[in-house]
Amino acid sequence: MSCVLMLSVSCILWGLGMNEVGWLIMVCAVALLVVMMDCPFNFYILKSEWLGVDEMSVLMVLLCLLVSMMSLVSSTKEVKNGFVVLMSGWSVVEMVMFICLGSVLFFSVCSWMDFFFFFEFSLVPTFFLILKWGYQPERLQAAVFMLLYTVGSSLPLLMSLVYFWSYVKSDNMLLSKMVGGWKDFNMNWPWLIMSLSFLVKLPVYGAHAWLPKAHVEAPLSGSMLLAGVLLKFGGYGLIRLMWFSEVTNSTIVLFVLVFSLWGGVLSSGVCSCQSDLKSLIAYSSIGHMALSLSVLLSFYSVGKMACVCVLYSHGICSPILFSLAANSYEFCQSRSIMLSKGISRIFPVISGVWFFFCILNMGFPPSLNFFSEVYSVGGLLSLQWLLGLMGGLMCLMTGAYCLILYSLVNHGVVSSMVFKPGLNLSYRYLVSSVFGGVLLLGGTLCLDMFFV
Amino acid sequence: MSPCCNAALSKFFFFFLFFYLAVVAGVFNGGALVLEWELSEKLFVETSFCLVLDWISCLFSMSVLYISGCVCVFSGFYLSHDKFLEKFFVLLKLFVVSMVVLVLFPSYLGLMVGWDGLGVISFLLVIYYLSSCSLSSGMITVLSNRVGDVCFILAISLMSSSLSFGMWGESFVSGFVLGIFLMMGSMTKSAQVPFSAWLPEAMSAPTPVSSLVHSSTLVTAGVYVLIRFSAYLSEFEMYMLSISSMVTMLLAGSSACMESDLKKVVALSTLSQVGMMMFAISLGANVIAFFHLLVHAFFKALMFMCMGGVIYYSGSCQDSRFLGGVWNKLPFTSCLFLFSNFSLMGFPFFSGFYSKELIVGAALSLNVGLMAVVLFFMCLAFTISYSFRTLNLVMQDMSVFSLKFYSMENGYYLSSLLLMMNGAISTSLIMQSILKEFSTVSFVNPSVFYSVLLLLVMFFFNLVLLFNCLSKKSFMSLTKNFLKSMWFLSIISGNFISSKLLMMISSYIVYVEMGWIRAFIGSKVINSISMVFRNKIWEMNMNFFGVILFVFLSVFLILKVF
Repeated sequence: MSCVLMLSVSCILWGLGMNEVGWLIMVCAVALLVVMMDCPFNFYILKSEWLGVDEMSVLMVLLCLLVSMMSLVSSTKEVKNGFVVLMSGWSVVEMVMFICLGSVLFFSVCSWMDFFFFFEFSLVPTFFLILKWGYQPERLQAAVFMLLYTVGSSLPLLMSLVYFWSYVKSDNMLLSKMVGGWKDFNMNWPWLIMSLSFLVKLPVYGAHAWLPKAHVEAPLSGSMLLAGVLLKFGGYGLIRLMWFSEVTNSTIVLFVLVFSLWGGVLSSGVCSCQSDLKSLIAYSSIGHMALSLSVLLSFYSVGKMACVCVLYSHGICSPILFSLAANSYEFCQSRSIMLSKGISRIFPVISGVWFFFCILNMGFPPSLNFFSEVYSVGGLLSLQWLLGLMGGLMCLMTGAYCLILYSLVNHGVVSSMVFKPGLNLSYRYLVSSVFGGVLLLGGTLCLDMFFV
Repeated sequence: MSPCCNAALSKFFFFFLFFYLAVVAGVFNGGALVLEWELSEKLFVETSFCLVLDWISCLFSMSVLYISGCVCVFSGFYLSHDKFLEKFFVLLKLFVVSMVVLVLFPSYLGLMVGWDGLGVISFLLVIYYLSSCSLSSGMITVLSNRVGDVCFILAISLMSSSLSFGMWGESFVSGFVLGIFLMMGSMTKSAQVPFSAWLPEAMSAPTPVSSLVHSSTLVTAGVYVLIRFSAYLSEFEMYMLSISSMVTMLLAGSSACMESDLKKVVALSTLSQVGMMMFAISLGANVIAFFHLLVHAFFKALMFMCMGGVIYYSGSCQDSRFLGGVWNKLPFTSCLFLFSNFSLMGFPFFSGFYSKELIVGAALSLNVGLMAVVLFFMCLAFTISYSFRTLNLVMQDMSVFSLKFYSMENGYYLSSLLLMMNGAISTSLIMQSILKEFSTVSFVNPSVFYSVLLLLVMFFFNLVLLFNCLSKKSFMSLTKNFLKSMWFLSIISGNFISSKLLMMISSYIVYVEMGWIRAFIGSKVINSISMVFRNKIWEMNMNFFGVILFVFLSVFLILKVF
């Protein structure tokens, strides 16, 4: 809770005229350490009337803080040395801090109405971010799509939460679970309607059209936050919903599982043929989220652990891939794979970092991504051998497109768009990449924290 | 040249370190050191890294480090003009680290670190020369290895899901399937049929890479895993493995008789020897297979190094149709090339003879059936024939284009060859005298064996002469195409699959992804829904009656809910 206080105070101070972005990043880092200080194991504690703490919510809050730090560091265009670029009076830093604050509160509140409020709240700064700092005219349609898909599918959730509130007479998560909220109902179809909002946010394959559009049109910090934090809202919401809605393993749940798994395979296949770097990484996000959703719906405890692990490791790896793509945008002014090629000869360190994160994305041991992938496939295999085989197929296609991504950007003759005089790449991308890489590789050493 | 010396010295340092550790730990007398590091206990399976230092892992890591040290010295010569030499040495070091991790950590998690690392770093090494054909070779290498990774991931998942918690009813089937996954994974890494297409393609890598990676470490990783995990293989899997390795040996042997690129011939000889190791494992002779693995590593690395010298000194010409007369131009190189070829053929009392003799003895004395014996002898005959063909093409001065002027052999090159020389010629004697496990008795009657072999070689010689005298051109060209493209496997595995798949995916994107999902649902459906709502709301708001109804309805709803 004190981390929320720290973040709010720093936002207020920023509003009052503090100009140092580095100070905000330090506040985030200290908030991270403060959050780490209480890690309950396997039970849900109500810290106050507003906030509740569980190991998974601690993990997600950590993820928010880390991703906001990395996105502030990596937005070199908008946050320069000494001053920030302002658009209609707001700067990127404020938007990022709003999203960060909203997400931290989303993962910490313990009442369903506040949960829904913060679920929709973080869409507003993201919408503004895409509209104001995006690059192309298509960003209007992309932002509207995002809002329509996510808000439109969460209206059933609002209705059912309001009905639930009136039925149980309390909307505290812990209290309503202990009273036994939904026990009298057959929860199959209501669960599907309620989780539709989380499924679209996640995004499951059929309702995923908003994500590549939003990623392509958003600026770097928007993409990083969208991939790193906002997609995890869906996973977190699904885990909480499964916890309190007493849903059992039925045909409908299996339908969603198979749908999302096969959609993940299709989306990983689609990745191999994309022509826009950001769109490629967006489809890879869809594939990873599909894997986590399908193993969560197998109702094994390994499934929940693997799901949270996938959410976390994807949430660190994907923003860094986006920052590397933005890096290549900076020196050749295009995200097309035809034009940004062959940087291995001229930027060997960036090329090494590209390789490192491409193989991390495909699940290179002993990183956290590997454990999440292996235990996801393991959970699926426990349920049914065919699902495990589909999971294995997805691993194969993930490997294929990650290496295709690496060889598209790094291999071959340097493209003629890249030769510009006065080329200076910011080392800030490298710093955030190293930070994320250390987290992912070192996460193996404290696996117990990530297996929630 | 100092990065080269640094790299080589670090490898030799670790070689001596392992030797010291082995002697101190009493490894050669049967002792073993096991260290386990537990990562997590939250899942019901133990997630741990387990380090095992027994005579197998010690000997293997020692030979890997020795060969890589010599290869570092060799690459100081071969890539001396290259701008990114430090990057190359870093990659080699990472590769050796992955291999040593694979050898030392045989628990399935540690295995995956080494396994994945090997696949991925060999990709980087194969695409080292940044050209389009090296990219295609790299992609087929790493994707074949990735199939093996997926098989191993499925094996791990099976181990963590149904082999614990006492699910007795399922353990029989799960054990069987586990063996299949392990076998398939090892087969992809060791390039057995049907995954053989990547090994000749991977010759786009620089020759030091081929000499380290594709002769002794990467392809033998699969054999090593099968040796370690051989308890998981049941009868069916051993049967499948013996068939597959036999087919690989035949494929490699026949294709090498027609191949004109010298590095590809050496790669195909590696393929046939790895097939022989797998065949020995499928018979149950694990120690003999391991012995052949080590001995083969040394003489094959030497063969690649000699080949690398020939290629370098002829101005990067790999095609044997342009080479000739190396016997007079590079005497030391051709001498060692001759010796390593004799080892490969199993010529008596060279290094390869001891291990090959043991494998032949095992194959003849265990129950494998008449067909297998005949095919096995055919493979041996193929080995002899392509070895002699290569020697002939390289050393005899019979080509019109053969280059006349060579320079003195470089210092680094000579020293690397000297270091490997003893390794290739007397390795097996040394190993047999140190380790008592390697000297077994085989009941092979030499007069019978050699006479049958000679008979088969003569038969093949006549067959080849017959082919050359045949007048039917279409049959000849079909046979040549069949053999040159490795029984059409290289065409099927690479071009066909990838082009069809990518075209299917592109048409899927155009019709479903962009068509149905984005355009139809995204634009049309949502637009039409919002349009319909908007029009209805306008209609309602324009009508006085509608506004009153709407206000009453909403007030009523709010009162009802609260």
